[in-house]
Amino acid sequence: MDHPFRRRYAAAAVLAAGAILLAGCSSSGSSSGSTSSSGSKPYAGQSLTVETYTAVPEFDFYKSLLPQFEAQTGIKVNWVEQPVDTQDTKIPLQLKAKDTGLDVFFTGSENITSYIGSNGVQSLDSYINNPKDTPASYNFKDFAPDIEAACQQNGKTYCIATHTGGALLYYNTAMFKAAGITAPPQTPAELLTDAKKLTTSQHAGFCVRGDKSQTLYDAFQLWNWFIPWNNPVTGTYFNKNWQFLIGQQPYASQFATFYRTLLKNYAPKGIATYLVTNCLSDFQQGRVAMWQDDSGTIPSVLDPNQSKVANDTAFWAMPCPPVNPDHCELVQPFGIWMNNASLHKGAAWQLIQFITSKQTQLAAVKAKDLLTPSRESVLDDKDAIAALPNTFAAQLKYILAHPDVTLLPFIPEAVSLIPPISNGLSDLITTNTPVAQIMATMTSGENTIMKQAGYPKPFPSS
Amino acid sequence: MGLPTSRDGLAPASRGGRSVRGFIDRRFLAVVSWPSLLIMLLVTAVPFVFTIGLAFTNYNLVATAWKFTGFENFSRLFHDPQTGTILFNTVYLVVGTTVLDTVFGLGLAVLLDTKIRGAGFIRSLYLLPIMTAPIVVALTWRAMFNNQAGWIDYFLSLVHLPQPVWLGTPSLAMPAVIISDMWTGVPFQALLLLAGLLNVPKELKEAAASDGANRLQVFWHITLPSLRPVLFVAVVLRLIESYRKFEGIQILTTGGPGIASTPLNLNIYNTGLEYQQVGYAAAMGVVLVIMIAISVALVYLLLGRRS
Repeated sequence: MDHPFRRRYAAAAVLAAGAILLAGCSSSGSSSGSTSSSGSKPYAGQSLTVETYTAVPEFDFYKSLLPQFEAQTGIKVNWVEQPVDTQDTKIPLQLKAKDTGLDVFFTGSENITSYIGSNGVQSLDSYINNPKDTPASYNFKDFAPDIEAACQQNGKTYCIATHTGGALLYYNTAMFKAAGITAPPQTPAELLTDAKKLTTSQHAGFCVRGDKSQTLYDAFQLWNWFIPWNNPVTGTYFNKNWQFLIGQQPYASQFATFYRTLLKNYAPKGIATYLVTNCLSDFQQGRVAMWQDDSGTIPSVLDPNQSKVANDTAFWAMPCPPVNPDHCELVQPFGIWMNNASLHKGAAWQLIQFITSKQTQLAAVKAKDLLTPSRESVLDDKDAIAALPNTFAAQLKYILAHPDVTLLPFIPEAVSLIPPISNGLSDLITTNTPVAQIMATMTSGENTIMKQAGYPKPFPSS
Repeated sequence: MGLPTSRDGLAPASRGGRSVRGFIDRRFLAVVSWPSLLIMLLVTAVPFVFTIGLAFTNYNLVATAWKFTGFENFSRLFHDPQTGTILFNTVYLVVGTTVLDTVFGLGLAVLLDTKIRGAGFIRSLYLLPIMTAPIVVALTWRAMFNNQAGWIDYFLSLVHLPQPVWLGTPSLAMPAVIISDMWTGVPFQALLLLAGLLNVPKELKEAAASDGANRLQVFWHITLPSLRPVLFVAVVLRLIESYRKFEGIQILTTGGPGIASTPLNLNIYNTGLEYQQVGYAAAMGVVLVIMIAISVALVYLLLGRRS
C-alpha cells in the first residue's frame, strides 16, 4: 500500500525541482529592472492593482513594459489609467478607507503630508534597506537628493520619484524673430515688454492656465519670481512664523500687478477659462508666442503631426531674480507610492523597483517618453541627453540647480489652502477689484484656514 | 350561519387569523413596502444622520484623529466672507432655472396641447435633451460657449453683436449655466405639464368659451387652476434638481471665475472632496438641506396648499 507520507515526499521533491528550474529560467530571462535578489519568484501568482493618470507618455511606456515584469516575477498587474480629476479625488478616499484593492499608485509628491497624516502610505525604508528585497544594483542613492527629498518626511521615504518635472517657458522663435526680439526674457519686466511686442491680431503674446481649477500651478511659477523662498517645508508660502508670504507687501502687489497686466493685456481672450489643453492647442496652432508651463507637454509641441510650430519652438528657464536667487524653478516630482493597506506589499515593492530602476528610466528617456528622469546617472548619460530636445537639456540642468519642490507647503492642511489663492488669482484677471483688496482677501482666507487648523504650531523640522 | 369567507375559503382579510398568511393579508401594504423602506433607510436616512453628526466634528481626510467641535463649523461658515456670495449664487441658480424652465416649459406644453401639425414629432424631438447624459450636455455647452470656436459667439459675430467671454466673465458665468440648464429643464417641465394639460376637462374650457371668455381668460381662470397640482409637483422637482445641479457647473465653469458661479452644492463638493474638510462640508450640507426644506415649504404655500 502507498503510504501518504511517501506521496508527500515525492510531491515535495517534484515541487522543489520545479522551483529550481523556474528560478533558473527567471534569472536568465531578466533583462531590465530590478527584482528581488534571490532570483526566484516569491510573489508569483499575486495580483497588483496600479492606478495612474491617463494619456501620459511616461506611464504608457511603463505599461508597455509590464509583460516583461510579469514574466520576470510571475506577478500579475492590473494597470488602471484614469483622468487627472478622477485620480486626484479617488486616491485620498481609497487611502482613507484603507482600500485593499489598491496596491501602487502614481501622483505628485506635494500630497505627501496628507497621505502620511491619514496613515495611507507605506514607508519604503524597510524595503530599500533590506538586501533581500532590494539588490545593491538598485542604488537608491542615485536619485537626485533634492528631488527625492520631496518624497521624504521625518527621515522616512514614502515614495520614489519617477520624474522631476520642471516648469519652463515655451517660446516661438519665428514670432520672436518677426517681433525683433533676439533673446528670451531675462526678467519679469522683460517678459512683459516681450509679451506686448508679441501680441498682434494674429496671436497673443503669452499664455498660462487661467481657469480657476488649474490656475495655481502656473501662477506658482510666476510668483516665484517675486516672492522670496523661505524654507524647504513651506517654500514661498509661509515663513517660519507662519506668515503668508504671498500676501505680504510689497511682494503681493508686485506679483499681482504683473499677473493682472500680463494676462489681461497680452493673453488670449477668455484666458480665465484656459486649461493646459487650451494653451497647448494655441501654442501648437501658432496662436500664442510664449507659454509658461510644465515640461510634460514638450513631446506634443515638438510632434509635427500635432503641432504647426514643431520646428519653431525653443525652451527657456527664466533666470532666478535677486529676490529668490536659488529656488525659483518649480520642480514637481512625481512619485510612485505603496498603499499602506495593500495586501501584497512585497510584490508591490518589486513593481516599484522595476519601474524606478535605472534601466527603465534610461529606456523611457531614449524612447522620448520621459523628459525629466529622477536618477542622476540617467541625466549624466550621453545617449539620454542626446535624446532630449535641443534647447531643453541645458534648461533642465538650470532648473534642477534652482529647484523649488513646494508646489504646496508640506503641511497636512496644504490642499485646503488652494481655494483662497485660486479664487484670488481668478479675480485678478476677471474683475477690476483693486489688487491690494484681492490680495488682502486672499491673505485673510489663508489666515482663517490656518487658524482653524490650530496654527501657529511649532515649525516642522523637515 | 358562519362568517362569510373569501372565495378561496380563507377568513376575510379584515379578520385575518393567527397564521402567517393572515398576517400578510392584514398587513399587505406594510409588508411589501418594508424592503424599499429598508433600502431607503440604509442609503438615505443613515447617511443623512451621519452627515448631521459629521457637521459637528472636525473630521477630514488628512488626519486620523478627529473630535466633536460643537457649532464651530457653522460659526465658521457664517463668518466666511464668501458665504454671502455662495448663498446668493445658490438662490440665483435655483430661482433662475426653476422659473425659466417652468415658464418656458409651460409655454411649450400649451403649444403642444393645441392641435398643430407635427405635434407628435415635436414631442419626440424635445425628449432628446432629457435622454442625453448631463455630462455630454455640459461638454457640448462648454464648446458652444467657447469664445474662440463656439457657435454662440460665431452667430453673434455674424450679426455684428459683441462676442463676450461667457464662461470667463463673472457677470455672465451664472447666466451661461442657467441657459445650458434650460436645454434639458424646459423639455422636462413641458413633459410633466403637458400630462397635466391633457387632463384638464375640455367641458370646462368649452363652457367658459361659450360664456364669452377669451383664450387668455380660459387659460388663466380654467386651465391654470386645474393645472395647479401638477404645477406644484413640477416646480418642486425642478427646485430640488436645481439645488442638486453639479456636473453642468463643474464642467462649464468649475464655479468660476473666482466664485462667481459657485453654488452651495459645488462648494460642498470642493470643500469635502477636493480640499478634504469633510466636517466643514457636512455643515454646509446641513444648511443646504434646510434651504431646500424652506424652498419646498414656500412653494407649497404658494401652489400646493391651494391645489
